Amino acid sequence: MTYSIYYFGKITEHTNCNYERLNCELSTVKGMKEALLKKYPTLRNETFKIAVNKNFIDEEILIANDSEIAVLPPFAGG
Amino acid sequence: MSEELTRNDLKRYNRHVILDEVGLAGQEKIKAAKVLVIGAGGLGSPALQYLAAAGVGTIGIVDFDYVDLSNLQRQILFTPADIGKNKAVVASERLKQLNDSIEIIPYAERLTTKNALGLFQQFDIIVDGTDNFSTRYLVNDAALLTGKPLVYGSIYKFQGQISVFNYKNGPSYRCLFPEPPAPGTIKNCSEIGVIGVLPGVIGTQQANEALKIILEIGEVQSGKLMLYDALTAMYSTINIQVAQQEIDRVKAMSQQDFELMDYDLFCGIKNELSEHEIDANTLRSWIDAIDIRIIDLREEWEEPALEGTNVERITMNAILHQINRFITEKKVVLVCQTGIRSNQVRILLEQEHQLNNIVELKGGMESYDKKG
Repeated sequence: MTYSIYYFGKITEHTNCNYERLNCELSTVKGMKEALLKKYPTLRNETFKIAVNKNFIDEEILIANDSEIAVLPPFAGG
Repeated sequence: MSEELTRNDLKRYNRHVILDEVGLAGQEKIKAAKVLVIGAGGLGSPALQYLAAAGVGTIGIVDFDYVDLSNLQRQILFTPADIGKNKAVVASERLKQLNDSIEIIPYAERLTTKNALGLFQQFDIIVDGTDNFSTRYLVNDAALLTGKPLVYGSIYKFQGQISVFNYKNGPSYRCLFPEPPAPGTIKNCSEIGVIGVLPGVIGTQQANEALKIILEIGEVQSGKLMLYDALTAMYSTINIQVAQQEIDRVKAMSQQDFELMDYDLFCGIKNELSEHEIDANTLRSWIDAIDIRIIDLREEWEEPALEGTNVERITMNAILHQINRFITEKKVVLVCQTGIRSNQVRILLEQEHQLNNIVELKGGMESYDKKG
């Protein structure tokens, strides 16, 4: 599978990029989270949500090939 | 205030009135509307200006904070002459100059669980321009409990988020983020910086959403999280679903439950001091103490100044340059603006000299300045 991953806010400070293509096995949102934590261990302390094709979906649903994934942390600034 | 438009109103709001989507009836709705803006900072400044210019009949402004020179880079309601004055009061004066035909009510106080419900009940729409998680959760819950739509905006460095919560049974902030992030993991603008134009973009969008709610036109961004990136100039939108259990949990709170809620505790920022930290009150009691050295790591221009016979200024740069020569018999308190520099210096000093008589002011002088 190939996924397009977009990182937002503070997450980019861990990934050092705001976009990347990730080749991996067919994954659920939960699996994607684990894969990201493995690739970027310092993400472990961060709060973030994963959206797939502009929707927050159930953690157990499989993510289709070529999906667009957004990794979103909360912001507090104002 | 009468909803009927005066001759002057018709002239003033002509460019609204001639829009089919607004018209006379729409402008009357704007005049009848009551909007409460929480925080007259980066987001609040532009939101307030556009709401006042648009003729929103009643605008409330809640802010306990004072104008600081470092605010002027983005908080465009203020001038150098306003430094040291309360933001809600100054904003209200400035907006009256912009539009004297509307009512503007400054609340120069901190939003708390004690005053939030009473305040929110007096308004139709809440605009969130706060700068920390505990107030954001407080605002969300109070908006849910009083049944008021909440126009949410928040910023981080070059990016912003916008949404409308609690609108016609749509999602709330807790449907998006049920739990706050771990304390200290997400910094605010004063700690990590923000491009000055960004709150202008996001705050203006918030004013636009508020006007769409008032006018009942277009697509209110309920159930959508709009993301903006100032570096790529791209907007994207992500759908948010209602998480009913999150909403129900908040709505199950009685007024008394809510008043007893400790949002600082919920967000993990309750002043739990580590053994290396002291709070502002302790520092106050240590000023002039002969057996304690208070070292101000800040640059000379940083305010507020810290004065006392036992206060010495050694900037962070200076101390790092001669860290191997730093000797102290007395207990040392390290002080900086937000607590970040003092933390770094304490760790380095301890590593270099195995010192164990160094503490730091948690939250820095910003916590010292703001009592309560």
